[in-house]
Amino acid sequence: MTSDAVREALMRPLWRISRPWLAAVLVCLTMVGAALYAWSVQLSQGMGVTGLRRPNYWGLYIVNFVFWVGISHAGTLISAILRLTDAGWRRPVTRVAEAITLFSLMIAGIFPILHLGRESLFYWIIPLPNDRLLWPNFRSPLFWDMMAITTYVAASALFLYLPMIPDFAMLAERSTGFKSRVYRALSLGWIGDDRQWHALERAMKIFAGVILAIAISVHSVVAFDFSMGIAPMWHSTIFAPYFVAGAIFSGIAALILVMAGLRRALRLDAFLRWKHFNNLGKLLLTMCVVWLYFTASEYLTAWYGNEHAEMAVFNKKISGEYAPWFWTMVACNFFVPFILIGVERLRNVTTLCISSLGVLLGMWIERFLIVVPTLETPHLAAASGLYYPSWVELTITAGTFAAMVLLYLLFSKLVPIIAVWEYEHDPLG
Amino acid sequence: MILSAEYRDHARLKMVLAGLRQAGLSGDDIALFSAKPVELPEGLLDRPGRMSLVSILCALTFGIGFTSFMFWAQMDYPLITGGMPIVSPWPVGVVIFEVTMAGAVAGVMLSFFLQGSFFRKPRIAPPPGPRDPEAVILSAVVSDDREDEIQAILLT
Repeated sequence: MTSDAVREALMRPLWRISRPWLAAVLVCLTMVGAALYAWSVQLSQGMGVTGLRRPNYWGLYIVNFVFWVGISHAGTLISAILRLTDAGWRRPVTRVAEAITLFSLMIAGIFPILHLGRESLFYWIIPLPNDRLLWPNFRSPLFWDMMAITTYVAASALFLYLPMIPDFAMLAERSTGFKSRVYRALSLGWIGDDRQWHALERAMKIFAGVILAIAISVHSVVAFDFSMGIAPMWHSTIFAPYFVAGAIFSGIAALILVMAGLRRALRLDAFLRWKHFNNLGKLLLTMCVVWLYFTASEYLTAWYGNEHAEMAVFNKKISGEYAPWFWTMVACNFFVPFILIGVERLRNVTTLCISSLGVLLGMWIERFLIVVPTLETPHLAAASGLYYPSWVELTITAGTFAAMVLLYLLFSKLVPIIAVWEYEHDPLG
Repeated sequence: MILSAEYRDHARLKMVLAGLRQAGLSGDDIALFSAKPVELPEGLLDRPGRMSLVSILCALTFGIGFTSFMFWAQMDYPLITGGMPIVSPWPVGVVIFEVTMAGAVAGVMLSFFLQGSFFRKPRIAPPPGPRDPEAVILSAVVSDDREDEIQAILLT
């Protein structure tokens, strides 16, 4: 393929709006609108419209927060690892992955604010003296969360933006009027001389190392939100690596699904080839085994300790009212991907997508099973209680999934979904 | 005076660059314009930078700065800590780590803008007109008396 043909193929989706794209945007907008309505109900009537009741003060909002932070690991970790190891096949994958990180973090960041109840006071967590001249508690894991996620969002946005600069310059040349001016401004006066290329490549290398550390720390901090509490089946030393492994697992699944969707919608078969899916499938298979190892270690330790409060939660999950959820999670996270990807004859793009969908479902259930059963079963048995999410929480949850798709749809019309210059640099990988 | 030449063959480009360096032109006198990065052997047109150092320095500045800020903020409002130290490494270590990393990111961005000469008028401006994505344009600043000599090297 010549450079002109590559550019034409990758930029074609930017210049025209198809009917399916428009229909998808409308569906997503409707769902996001419904979520905004549900939020307005919560704002006007208070947190009573949610299913959060004593002792379950953490519900779907926190489940979704942990889930979306996990998804965010798709981009940064995969892209950073592949950049650091100079894996040539990464080139068509990195931008797709990095965009997932940024968008899922934007969505994840909404949930702690929704969860606060008094959303207008969220800035009290920022280290500024508030109305009462109080500083935030620097020792609180919630403050750690704010710092970690802010750093991660900023770093991910820049990690996505830097390799887009040459593409913005190219788009400015190829477009006219207002669009050209916007792209020109975004390209920051890129002229494509060897100094700028050198600075860009050097910056991306260092960035990859730094962002790797940030990404791991972020999900560890999210795990600390749980493991720092002396609650049954939360107070565990392996929670941080367990969360990081789960995050990478769900991140890879999300990446495979997004890549398959983009390949089909934007006709990118020539760029997102079987090799990319196959490699990511093998990574997913590896993480599936790692996930099983961590889950088994976590549950075996709780079972062997046979501590009363821990066993109450353990039994609830393994054989109690949450058993159907637990075994669905195990099936989705282990058996489905292990069989469909592990057996080479069965491995193709369709089975990879089915496995990825299963993993996403399984990981969401896992987050739910971490948050809810523990809170329902506190040390004081008389204080136990059940949690049922309300329509407000469910609508907001559905709306954020639609928001993710919507952000991606809009992004695919603004920037080539594959970094043109990176692909041209080494098309065969 | 600026002389420019367009190359599609990278082997030839490397030969010309070596010739220009032998003729006494420094890295500051030469610029390559291309639609994708050009890989050159070491020593031919190195662009040494201090990106790693700047990144580490910024990381340290942010980390130490925020630790001091936390210490000051907790002294500013007398917290009842139950005998615990005001700033101890365990509970605030995570925060210091994140801020340190934020500093490293800021350092990378700062060096990127400085090293890439963004927001500054380039010494050697890119030639006008649409650019062929396959071609590399080499521009060199030469004195009037060396025009013929450099032109001959560019045409090698």
